Amino acid sequence: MSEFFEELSEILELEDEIVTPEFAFGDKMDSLAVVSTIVLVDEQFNVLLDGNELVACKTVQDVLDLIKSKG
Amino acid sequence: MINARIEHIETHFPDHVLSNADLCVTFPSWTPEKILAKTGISERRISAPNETSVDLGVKAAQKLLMKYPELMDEIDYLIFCSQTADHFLPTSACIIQDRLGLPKHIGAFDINQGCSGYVYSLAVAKGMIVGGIARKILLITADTYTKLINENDTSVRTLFGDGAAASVITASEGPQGIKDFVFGTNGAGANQLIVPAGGFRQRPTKDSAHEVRDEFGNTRSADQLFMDGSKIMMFGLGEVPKAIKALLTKAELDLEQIDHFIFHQASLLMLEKLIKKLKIDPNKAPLSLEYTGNTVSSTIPILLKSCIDDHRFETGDKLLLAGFGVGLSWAACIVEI
Repeated sequence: MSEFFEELSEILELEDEIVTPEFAFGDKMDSLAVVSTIVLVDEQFNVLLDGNELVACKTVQDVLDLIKSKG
Repeated sequence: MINARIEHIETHFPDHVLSNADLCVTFPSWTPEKILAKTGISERRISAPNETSVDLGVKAAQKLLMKYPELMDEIDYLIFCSQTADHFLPTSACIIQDRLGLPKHIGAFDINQGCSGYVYSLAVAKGMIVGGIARKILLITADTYTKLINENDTSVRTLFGDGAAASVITASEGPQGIKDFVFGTNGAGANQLIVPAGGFRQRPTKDSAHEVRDEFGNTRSADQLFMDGSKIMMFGLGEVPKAIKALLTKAELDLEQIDHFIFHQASLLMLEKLIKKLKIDPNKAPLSLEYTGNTVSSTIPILLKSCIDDHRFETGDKLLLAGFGVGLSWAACIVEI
């Protein structure tokens, strides 16, 4: 899971910060971040997320719950 | 047995260059380095307002005809693959026949396919040659998607560029040439990469020209290109590996026996993930999008030409060509050098 958090932090362009489940995306989840996150989730969990569902996620935990519901 | 092979390829691009630094003026939250890292593109070529796909395609073909003047007499068919035709009618290929000064006894028609278009056109060309309908086909791919893109739409403006390629597909003897094909279609995804208005389903009106800002801050009207990047990415990663597997089974080849993977140059992100998912050696999947961007049906011949110019191919090499995107449509084939 730490690799997922690290790569997600990179996608969100966080400097010296690693996301936690509580991390709120705010305006960080732009269209490119959505595409990159879908690819990351596919690679790490073998789950293909829907872009609209991902955009609706407010926190990292929401994304984890979404993956779980599809896994 | 008669077969068909790709004999020559030439390319042509418009003069105007749109650099990442230029884009960052419109999109200040981006940097040129970030655009390059994500898309693999540093520059795109943009057609002039009065310069069309037909103009670009004619220029690419003229390069071929200058180099090999005997083609003027030998070409007996002309195929133009594009989604940005000069007119709804007549057929662009007819206009091109006249512009190139090709003889009147040749056949000419258009194919409307995008990212899968080059592989589709190879299939049609091969079928016509093997079927004894044609012997030497001039295949022109050209598009000017940038004319359909809103200036304030990062999702597509960073990716697409204009360009053209002219290929000659010829009858051949021997084992080399264009081999097996697989195709795929999912029209349920038609609205994931689309220009909604402008045709007859939705005529261009004052309403269709109305610009709307989406949830990511990108602006576009119904007259312009829309791409749902995440759905297209899911489509590519979902369907392309399956199609490649099916093609290899059909051609009785293993993945390891393919010397070069010639993929439609959609974006670096898409290509990197595809390479990783297929578990292929990245050195076997060359790239050619840095200075041209995604030129739709021309990316595959542009990449082929750059590989030929770099002496990357040797006789007997097996190539796997794969195009995928707008439609949704995909096609892949094996070519032996």
